[in-house]
Amino acid sequence: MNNLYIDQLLEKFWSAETTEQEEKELKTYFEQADIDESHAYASPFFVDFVQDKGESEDFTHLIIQKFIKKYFDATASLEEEQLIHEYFSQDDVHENLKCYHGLFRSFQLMGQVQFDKPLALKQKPASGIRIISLTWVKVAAAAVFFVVGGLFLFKSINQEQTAPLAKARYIEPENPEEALEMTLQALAMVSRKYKKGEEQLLQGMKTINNAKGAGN
Amino acid sequence: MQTENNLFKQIDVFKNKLFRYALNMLKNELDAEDVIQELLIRIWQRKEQFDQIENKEAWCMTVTRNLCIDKIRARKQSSQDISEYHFIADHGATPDIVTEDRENLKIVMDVLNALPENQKEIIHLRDVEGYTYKEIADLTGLSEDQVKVNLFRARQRLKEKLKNFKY
Repeated sequence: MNNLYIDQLLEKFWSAETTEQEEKELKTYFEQADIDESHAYASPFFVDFVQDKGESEDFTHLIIQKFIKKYFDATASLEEEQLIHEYFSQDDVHENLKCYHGLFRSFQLMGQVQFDKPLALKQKPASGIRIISLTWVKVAAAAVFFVVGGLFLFKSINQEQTAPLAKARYIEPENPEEALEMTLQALAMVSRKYKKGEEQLLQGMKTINNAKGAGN
Repeated sequence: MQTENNLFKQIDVFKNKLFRYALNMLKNELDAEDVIQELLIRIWQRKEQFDQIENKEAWCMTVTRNLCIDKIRARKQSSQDISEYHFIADHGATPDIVTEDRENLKIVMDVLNALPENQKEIIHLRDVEGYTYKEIADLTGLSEDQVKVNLFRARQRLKEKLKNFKY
């Protein structure tokens, strides 16, 4: 058997793709003393297989070891990962793989968590009525806040703008005579407005009376 | 007319996945249960359309994810230590194994909780639920390459910490 062929068989073996016949060929190869130096690393597995364990020994742990390397490199297929998980679901784990047992056992435990509550509505929502999410309520509240706030702000700015004008029209009297004069002017203005209002009222009443007379 | 029982029977087969996913994201059992309840309401409100959904599991996982994200944004209280869940004691193992499981799970959860959220989520979807890269990509909105990169980083981090395991 040439080296290239053995390399190919080993590669298939690590990927768990070898046939029974190919595995026998590998065992035959490793039983002989004259094996290539590049294959020496794999020899103990096959020698152990032949000498100590007999035909029933499986190489699962070697395959799993290979898969674990791929697992940590995130290159393992889903099927390979499932084999790893299945392997670690048993308590009897090979010595070389015990360091990984805790990790995969933990994943297994996490996968055992169950939802044990009944699948039923606690409170059935009325049909046709949509439940408004809290987010939208918050958005609506924020919008109201900004609109009301904006109005207040607008009003207060307006007040600030008109206040100096009002102040400018206020004239402080310098002596009592001037104060009296200003008061009389103010009263006269009020009197004029009152008279004008009274005239309009009388005129209105006259119109109503005329209309009543015409109606009778 | 679809009855409540018939409607929710359709998600019975993957309800545990939904709950674990919510639990993994929220790290709080009550919050995770709230999310499942909210999911049931969503399904009830769309009961006519729900039958038409081809991949109900994917749809429910997406809604669950969105509800969890809303809840994370809204809440302020601290989360629960997931390794303290009662299920550890319920799997029928001997006290020694239960103790060992608890210790190992604590180490794994500590490492996972120290990972960025997206890496933790991807590890959960792949290693606990067994989803394909494509399914994870569809659910998280990442590309398949991004999923692989995040998974690689998360697993390398786990590998570094493996020396702390008891065996």
